[in-house]
Amino acid sequence: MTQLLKYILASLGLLLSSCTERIDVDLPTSLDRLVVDGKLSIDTMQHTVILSKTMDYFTPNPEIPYISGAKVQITEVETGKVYSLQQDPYAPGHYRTIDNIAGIQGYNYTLEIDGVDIDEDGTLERYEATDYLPYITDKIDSIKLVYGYSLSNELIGMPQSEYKGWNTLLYMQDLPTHEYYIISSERNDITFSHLRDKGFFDDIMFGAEGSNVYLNGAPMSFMSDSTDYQTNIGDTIGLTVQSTSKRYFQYLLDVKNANAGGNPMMGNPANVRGNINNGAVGYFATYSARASTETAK
Amino acid sequence: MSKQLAIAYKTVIISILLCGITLSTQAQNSIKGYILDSITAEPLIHAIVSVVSTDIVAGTDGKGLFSLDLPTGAHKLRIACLDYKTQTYDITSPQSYPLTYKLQVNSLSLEGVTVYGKSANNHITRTESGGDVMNMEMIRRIPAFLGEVDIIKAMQLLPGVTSTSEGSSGFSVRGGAPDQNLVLLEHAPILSTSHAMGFFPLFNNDAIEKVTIYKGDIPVEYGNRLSSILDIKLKDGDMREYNVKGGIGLLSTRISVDGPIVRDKLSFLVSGRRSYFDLFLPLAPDEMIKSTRMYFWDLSGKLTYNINHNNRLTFSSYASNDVMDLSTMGMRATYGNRLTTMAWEHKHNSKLTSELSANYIKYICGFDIESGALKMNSNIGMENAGLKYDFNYAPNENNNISFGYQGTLHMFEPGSFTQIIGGDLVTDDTGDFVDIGISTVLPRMYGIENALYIGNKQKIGSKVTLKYGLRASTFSNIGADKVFHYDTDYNVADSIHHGKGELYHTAWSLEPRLGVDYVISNKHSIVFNYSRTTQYVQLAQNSAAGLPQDRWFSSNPNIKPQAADMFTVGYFSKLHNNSWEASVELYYKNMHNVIDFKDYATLMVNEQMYGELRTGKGSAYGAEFLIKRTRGALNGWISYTLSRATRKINGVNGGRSYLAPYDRTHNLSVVLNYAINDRLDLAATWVYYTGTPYTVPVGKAEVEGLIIPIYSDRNEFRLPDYHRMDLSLTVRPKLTSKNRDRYDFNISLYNIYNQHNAWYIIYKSEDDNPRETYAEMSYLFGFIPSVTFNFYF
Repeated sequence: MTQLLKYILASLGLLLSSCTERIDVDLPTSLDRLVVDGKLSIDTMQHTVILSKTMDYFTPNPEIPYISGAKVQITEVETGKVYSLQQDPYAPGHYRTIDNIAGIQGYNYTLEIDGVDIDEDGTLERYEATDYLPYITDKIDSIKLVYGYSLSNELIGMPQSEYKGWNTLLYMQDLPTHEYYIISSERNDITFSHLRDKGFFDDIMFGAEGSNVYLNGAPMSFMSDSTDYQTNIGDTIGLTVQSTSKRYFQYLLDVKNANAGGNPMMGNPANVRGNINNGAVGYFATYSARASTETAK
Repeated sequence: MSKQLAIAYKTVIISILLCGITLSTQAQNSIKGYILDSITAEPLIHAIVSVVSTDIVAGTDGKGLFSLDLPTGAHKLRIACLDYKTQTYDITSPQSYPLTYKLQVNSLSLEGVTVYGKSANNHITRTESGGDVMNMEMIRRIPAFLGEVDIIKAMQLLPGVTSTSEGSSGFSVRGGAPDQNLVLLEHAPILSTSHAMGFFPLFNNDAIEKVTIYKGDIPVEYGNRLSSILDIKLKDGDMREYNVKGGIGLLSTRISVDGPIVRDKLSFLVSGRRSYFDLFLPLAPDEMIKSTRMYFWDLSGKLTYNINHNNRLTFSSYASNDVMDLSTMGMRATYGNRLTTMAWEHKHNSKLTSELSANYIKYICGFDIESGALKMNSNIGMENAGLKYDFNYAPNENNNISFGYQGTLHMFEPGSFTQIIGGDLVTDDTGDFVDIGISTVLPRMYGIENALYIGNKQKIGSKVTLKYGLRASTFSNIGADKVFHYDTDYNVADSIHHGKGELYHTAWSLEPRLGVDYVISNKHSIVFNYSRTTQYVQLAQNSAAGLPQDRWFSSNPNIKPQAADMFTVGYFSKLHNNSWEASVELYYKNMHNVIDFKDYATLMVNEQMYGELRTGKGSAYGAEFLIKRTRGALNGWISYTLSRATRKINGVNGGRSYLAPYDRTHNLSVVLNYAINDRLDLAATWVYYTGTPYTVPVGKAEVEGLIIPIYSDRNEFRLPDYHRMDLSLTVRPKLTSKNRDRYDFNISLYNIYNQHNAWYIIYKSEDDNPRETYAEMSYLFGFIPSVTFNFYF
């Protein structure tokens, strides 16, 4: 939360003082680097790892340079079980498990990538990443939809917009361990999976690490009438709660901030903190998740 | 001439040439006096006082004070000063208290001014390399941002000194960080040196007597900073007349009153300022800005008591506050300084003088939100209680010995943070509703700094002056405190709790100073200086622009004190009948244990903040050039610095060397003042420097559906070069014998050609095509005109 405090101060400083204009900057280029975007959850399904490489910053009309021909596998560290991923013939750079794989809470998983030559020096490279799949409560007891102004804004003292919308309240038992939650929403068949739409909260908010509280209608999302999220009576709203490792939680916040362009008062710009070795960018994430739905009425 | 008078003559002349220190002989009576501007009541630090029909002469010191030893009886004093009419006064020796003499400005012509004081010569023989004095009149002529005369921004026009960012009162000296500069007001450190996030000066310039910056060889009596000392002195109140000075600007109003409480014995100065830009915020289109209340105020005061010839007491106080109130968010942020200092100057005998001073300072910054169910509070601060006892002993005309003690108790308030969200949102395992919230209160930390110092300025023959000295300093951490120990990966290995009052860690340093000044002729001299400086406290600041919430912290078992070895060689020259001065200085600074921060460091309210720090080496070197015209209707200076400053720190930038944040390859300042006539003064400044180093994206990647930048090495590239021209015009009423300078209008034009200088560049995705990226420059100020009405009674 001190980051929030700092961000508020920084934003105020900028808001009250600066003007902006677009400029042309002659940026240098760098060596290509592997980019990894991989996920494994406790849901039984096909899990995907996406491989691509970095681009020059001002590449016009960029197409993502996906990486084909890699050998990709995931190992369940505690059991030694290995899952090989196959390249999707219809989606370049997308490597998928078979469709009945599920991660197990409390286990560690290692992603291995072989057979790629990102720097084009004729030598094949190898990359690796390991993540912990954290526990989550057995179920979401329920969610409740309430129409009105944003309850989250009201709680944390942010100014309300002129639009109302649907608040989603969460009823769920928190675990006694330290959890890092990521919240995403869906309406009917549309999932708002964009990182900018996701909510982040660290259960240290509930007290000291190890607290064991019950979320009794905490507002977790707001579907404003002013945006693409507009929800009508009869629509179904879903809420997904992901429990992630601390490192992945931090990574997603890094990505969100880096995409926003940074802030001169928030410290020196730095690359996002991924978990892939050998200079690659990105993250192989394992997480557990629970979901619940409710109809607006 | 008697032997004693001959010695006195030599001593005085040498003193004037060296640094204005006035020594006395063992004559019968010591006469003291203050020389002031007749209108502004400012002390004249360049005046020469001579006794008619004798060889006795003296110069004024930084307080406008001179001292002469005279036989009993009647005498005539002749007082001369550059730009002032020479005047003669009758006096009788002895006198029981110092008198005040006021000189009138010789504004129509410079003819008749034949005596040039210290300022005309101090670049010739000065041993305090980098010890530059700027008088307030000079500073006031410089075009000011929004009409707010700012001593620190004026200093940024000197060689080797640069601003940290546009419009900021933060400054870097010879590649150092802003927290490596010690800003002193009446012996006491000021921790936050600006108002309104750095854009407005902290001090009412009417209350300031003079400003001295030591940017190289810091004298032994100062310590605990690596780069510079900025020594600011408040004025003494007038001992005989009441004076009122003030100004009404677009954004603030200031006023100063001074005068006698007991004629010739006790005087006062009170000075205050209040901004009113909160009046204009409701005109803003943005709702949040419209409802914002934002203002600052500051108040200074000084009492001066001339007890007798040999004793003088001063009591000074300063307070400031900045307030930002956002009612729409229920948020209020305040920060400010409190300072009190007392000083007792005592002349033990004609050879030994002393000054005992005690001070207390406090910096506080608070941040509160109370809105809806949210209550959030954060506080940070620092307090110092200091004691300093300086002695000056001049056993003969060739030696001038300074020695003394300095002690400071540091009390750090590292911060607290409390956030509570009420409401029936969460229940505990008994089913009772509980507030959501976190509270972190970091305990107050203590440290004590002690220093003993001694130094001598020794003249050898007519051409060589040696300056040598030693400062021995210690810093001790005092409990109660919880100290974390970190492994090689900076993870917490364990922690130790130290009890209240326990002195659990002491760092110490010997800080030698050495200088040689060689006078080639009366127009040319060469100076060499070496100094070691040590810094025990520093600021946890890793943003491009500082925040009021930035936290001061000390060395401890995890962090060694910073140290610097500085070598300086300078050549000084005076040309064309002393109307031009020119100098070249070369410096090399080697820094140890300099501090930077790991990527994504969490510095605020973090009890493990020391684990976020990284230390290593730094170096800075450069050449500084200055050419100055000191006289004539057109005067001013051009300064140019060619420099480089780098850091090499394990854990930052992969351990590779990188440019220091305030490295400027080229830094050029042009300052010109032109007296068009008796009523109009025109001034102009032009500033150019190489763009600030920064970190840029050298590539991009798509992850989680978003484009993110891939960054270069730290500070590998630069913002566009910075340049800006300012103008000011001062208009006075027609000169008559009665109304001279009773008021004036100052029109300042900031950034006259509306240059958009990059403050920061951010790199973002297009909203409609996120894979397309662009660069967006933020700049702070375009062309800004302002008018200030100044008055004097």
